[in-house]
Amino acid sequence: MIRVNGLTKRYGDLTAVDNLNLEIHQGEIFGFLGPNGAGKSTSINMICGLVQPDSGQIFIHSQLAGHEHKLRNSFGLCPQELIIWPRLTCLEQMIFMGEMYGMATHTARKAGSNLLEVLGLNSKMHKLAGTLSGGMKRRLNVCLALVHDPEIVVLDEPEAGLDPQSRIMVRDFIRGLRKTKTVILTTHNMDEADRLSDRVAIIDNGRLLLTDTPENLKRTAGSGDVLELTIQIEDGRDMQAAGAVVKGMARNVTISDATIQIREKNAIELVPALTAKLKDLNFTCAEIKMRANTLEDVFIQLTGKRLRE
Amino acid sequence: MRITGVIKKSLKEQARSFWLLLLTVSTAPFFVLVYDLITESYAPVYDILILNNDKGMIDTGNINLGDTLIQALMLHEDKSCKIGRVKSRQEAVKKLKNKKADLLMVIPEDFTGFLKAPGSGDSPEPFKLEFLGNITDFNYIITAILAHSFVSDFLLDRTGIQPPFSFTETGIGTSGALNDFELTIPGLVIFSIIMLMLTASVAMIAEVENKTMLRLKLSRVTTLELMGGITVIQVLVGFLSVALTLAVAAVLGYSFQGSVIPVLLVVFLTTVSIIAFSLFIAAFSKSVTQVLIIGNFPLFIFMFFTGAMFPMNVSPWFTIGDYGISVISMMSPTHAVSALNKLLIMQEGFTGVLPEVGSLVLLCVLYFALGIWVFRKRHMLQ
Repeated sequence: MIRVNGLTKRYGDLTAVDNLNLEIHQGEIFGFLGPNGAGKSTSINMICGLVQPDSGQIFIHSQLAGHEHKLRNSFGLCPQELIIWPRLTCLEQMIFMGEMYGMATHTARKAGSNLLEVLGLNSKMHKLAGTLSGGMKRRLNVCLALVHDPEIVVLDEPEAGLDPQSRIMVRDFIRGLRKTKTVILTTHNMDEADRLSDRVAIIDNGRLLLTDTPENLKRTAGSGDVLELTIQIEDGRDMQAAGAVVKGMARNVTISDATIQIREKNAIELVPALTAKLKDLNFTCAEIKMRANTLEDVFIQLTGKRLRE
Repeated sequence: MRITGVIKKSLKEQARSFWLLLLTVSTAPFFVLVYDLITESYAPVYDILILNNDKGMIDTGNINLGDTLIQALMLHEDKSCKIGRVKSRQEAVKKLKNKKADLLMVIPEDFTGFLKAPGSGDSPEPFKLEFLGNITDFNYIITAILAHSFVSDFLLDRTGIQPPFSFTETGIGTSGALNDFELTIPGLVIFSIIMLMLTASVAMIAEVENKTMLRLKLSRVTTLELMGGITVIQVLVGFLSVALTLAVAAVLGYSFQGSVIPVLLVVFLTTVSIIAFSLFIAAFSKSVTQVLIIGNFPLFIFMFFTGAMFPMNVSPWFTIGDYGISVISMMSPTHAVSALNKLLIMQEGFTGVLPEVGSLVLLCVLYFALGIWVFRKRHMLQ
């Protein structure tokens, strides 16, 4: 669907994007992860045809896309900033944007009404956008990106500033786009990327560090899952004996008081064997806690810093 | 003290708004310069046309004192006073309307007879010279005084006495019948259109300031489509502004006299040209605040140096037909004011304002082409 070869963009001495190579498949939700200034927005803007790359090529459906390429109509961009017309009603601006994309007024009206309804703005259709609440404006921002039924939807931090209710609505909406549209998602929110993305690209200092599915990334990178076992210690029992059993089954083990902490990739897979072994030795697990390896752990391992730093 | 903190902060912010600061403080000096350049280039010349209707006297040796008067007047020609003969009244009126001359003096048929008649100095019926021109024009007034003085000197020289003569003034169009208030209406109509410059620029820059330009860029809307759409609405605002101006004037006693269609055409072209010029202001601004500061420059220049507020007489660089092209011809309101003066005061028809209409069309195209190019370069491509 989208193939990017050696995309580079410099602003003076700063290399915003450095030799970016990636492929985005049709119908997938592709997450772009990276801290501020990592080069996410520049990459997206180059792919959308809004910024001219210094070097590199972008192919959309195997067709080379130049600057200001004609395929820009294939994109629907929902920027992080609220970009709406405050003195137009929700429906009026949907119709306006539809017309700008060459749609007939009645088609734009229909598409606009449907989108507003899906994102819970049907009761605000005839209200001025400037009078909407922050969450509603954000949802309108998303609607405006989709009115012309683009093939590729670019959502820049779509959940930023949303209340929980709106977040669920937007998240469901994005999930609904899967298969019918190709979605490029840029976000700081690891949870958002993990829940929504079919594949994730981690970018930092303009460079692509890794691309894979969130599951694969969590399985292969990061510091691993954290498994905590609290042992019920009976009189006279030696905690060290339980520790020795666990150390024999896992590598990264810490013991403190009655708690054994294991840090290992796919640690959950160890739980049945560990509990069985401990039971054989007459140790009882009073509590088992599990924190799965997150994309943030993966990111920290890859970049040496937290995403919000 | 907190005030020193505020002073330091304000100083830094002001210095860092370098271009705005420069524009603000350079506006008045720039005006001084422009005004000086315009007045320096303007050396007043008073043009008198003479139409000799004198039949002369054949019985006394084919004498025509009208010709003699003209020859005598020619002696007064210098850098500031030009004397020219015309063969017909129509020829003279055309020149007067195009401001190629300031006054037509018509020598009466019985001029020789009057001067040769015995006892002419005691004649109960003084002969009459006719002065024709835009009698509201300052140049006409001075030229009329000069002409009256020259003729008086001639008659005194020929007869030895101050013969009784009078002159009648004929205003071209309705110039003689209008009061001062009515004479300012053409300029005020154009002034109301000039004021459109700021609203048009604000309408254009709003998309940039709101960042909605990003959405429009992605939709591949062209600069021409975007600006064309904004222009249509601004033209309507322009017409509304002109209509309100005329309505208020009508309530205060102004009576519209002139050809409606040519007036509407001039208003339309002027409005379009001002909106097109607004593209430049929008191109060099990024916000409404910047529009208001940058826009002051052309706004005041268009107001004060095009004849909209005050009469402007600038020596032409060259002429096309009878129409003079000068430094102020680069500004569309100059032609618009001239056209409305002809249409509303001199009662000209469409053909009379063809040079102005042509100039307005040319400037509209020029402003639009350049404006679209600059706006696209600065806001649509970046």
